[in-house]
Amino acid sequence: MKLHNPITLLLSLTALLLSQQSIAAPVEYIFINLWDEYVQQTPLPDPHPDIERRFLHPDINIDKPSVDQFTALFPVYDGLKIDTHNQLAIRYGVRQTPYRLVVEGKKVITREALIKAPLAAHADQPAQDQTLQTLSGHPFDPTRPGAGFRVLFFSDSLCPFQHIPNCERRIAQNNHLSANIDYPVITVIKPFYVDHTQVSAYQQRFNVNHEIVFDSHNQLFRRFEVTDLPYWVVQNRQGKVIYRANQVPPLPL
Amino acid sequence: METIMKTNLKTFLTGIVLLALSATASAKPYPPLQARTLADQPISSSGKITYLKFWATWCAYCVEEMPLLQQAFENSQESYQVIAVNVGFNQTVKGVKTYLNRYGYRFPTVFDASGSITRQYRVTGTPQHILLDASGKEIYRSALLTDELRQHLATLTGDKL
Repeated sequence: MKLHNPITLLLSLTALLLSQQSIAAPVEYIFINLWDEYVQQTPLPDPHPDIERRFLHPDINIDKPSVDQFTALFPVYDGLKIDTHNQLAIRYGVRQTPYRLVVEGKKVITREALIKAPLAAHADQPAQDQTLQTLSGHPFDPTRPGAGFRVLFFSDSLCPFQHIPNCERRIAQNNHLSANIDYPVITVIKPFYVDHTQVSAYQQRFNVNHEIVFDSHNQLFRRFEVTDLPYWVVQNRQGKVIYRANQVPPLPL
Repeated sequence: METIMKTNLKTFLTGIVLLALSATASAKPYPPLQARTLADQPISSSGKITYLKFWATWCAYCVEEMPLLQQAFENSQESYQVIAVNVGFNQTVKGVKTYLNRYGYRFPTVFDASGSITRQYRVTGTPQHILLDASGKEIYRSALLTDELRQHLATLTGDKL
């Protein structure tokens, strides 16, 4: 039998005790969906003084900048992490949010759905057509482009995000287009999951050099049947669409 | 100088190998999707060109696209099959059935209760459109309903856009 010296034995024992303690220490996981939290905040239970609380977001429809933006606005969720590849959600069978688990070692000692009223998807709400105006307060009429062509650039203030590929480059292309043609260019912003605050932030973040319309009831997206983002539509002076594509229009048409 | 060249060459070769590996990985067909629909019918992607749409009722972008998915289903003329995969997260079978019935959507829908189909197709966002050829290889993928996807579907049915 191999004999260890006392210091090695002591160190091994300490390491063993520490590892057991860290395994045994209970952890509370709270899974949330930040997009729902923007609409309606989850009433969180009071934290337990002896239990570490960790906030997790399922690995769907999420990225790091969105998490950072959210935690800056809602500091109560400070430390929110993406549950990469949904490893913990899969391990503990979590298929809904908001959801709370207390885990000790490998054992789940508490699990509960945190109560929240169901939310209707934005697009599932009745269609409404309202009078529109630009962020600077000018009226916007989709049927009357004015004296010549008009370029409509359909975009999303959630950019950069996975469902809007290359959006930063395309927004820059659109700013370049606007700076180099004599026709008006209007950016139209998708209303899903955002409000005026995010639209103004988009305007500043991308130094948008032309008017922006926040399509708060999604009426322009419906009218022009735009399902791809970002997307360009060009109208002639009668309001007829003469170009539509996810590529910059090669003006003059 | 020689060391720098060797380092550059090593980096270049590593890049080529990684590129080749990633190309191989992306070209690999997915195992066929075998599932039961909400109407309790067996459905499979095996041997058929398949248009998969991953969605959820809480996803505004998904819900907005649903009439167009129904249209793609009606236009498919057996040139491709549509399978709508509800991702099952924050969803119930009852709720999804109620939603589909309310709008009269008739495309085959699979409820991904465990999330295994979503993982199998490496879907990390909704909506997600994936077009598979008959061998299960991915022909096209996009988050939103793009012109390119419409073009692919129109080509399959022989329609002009």
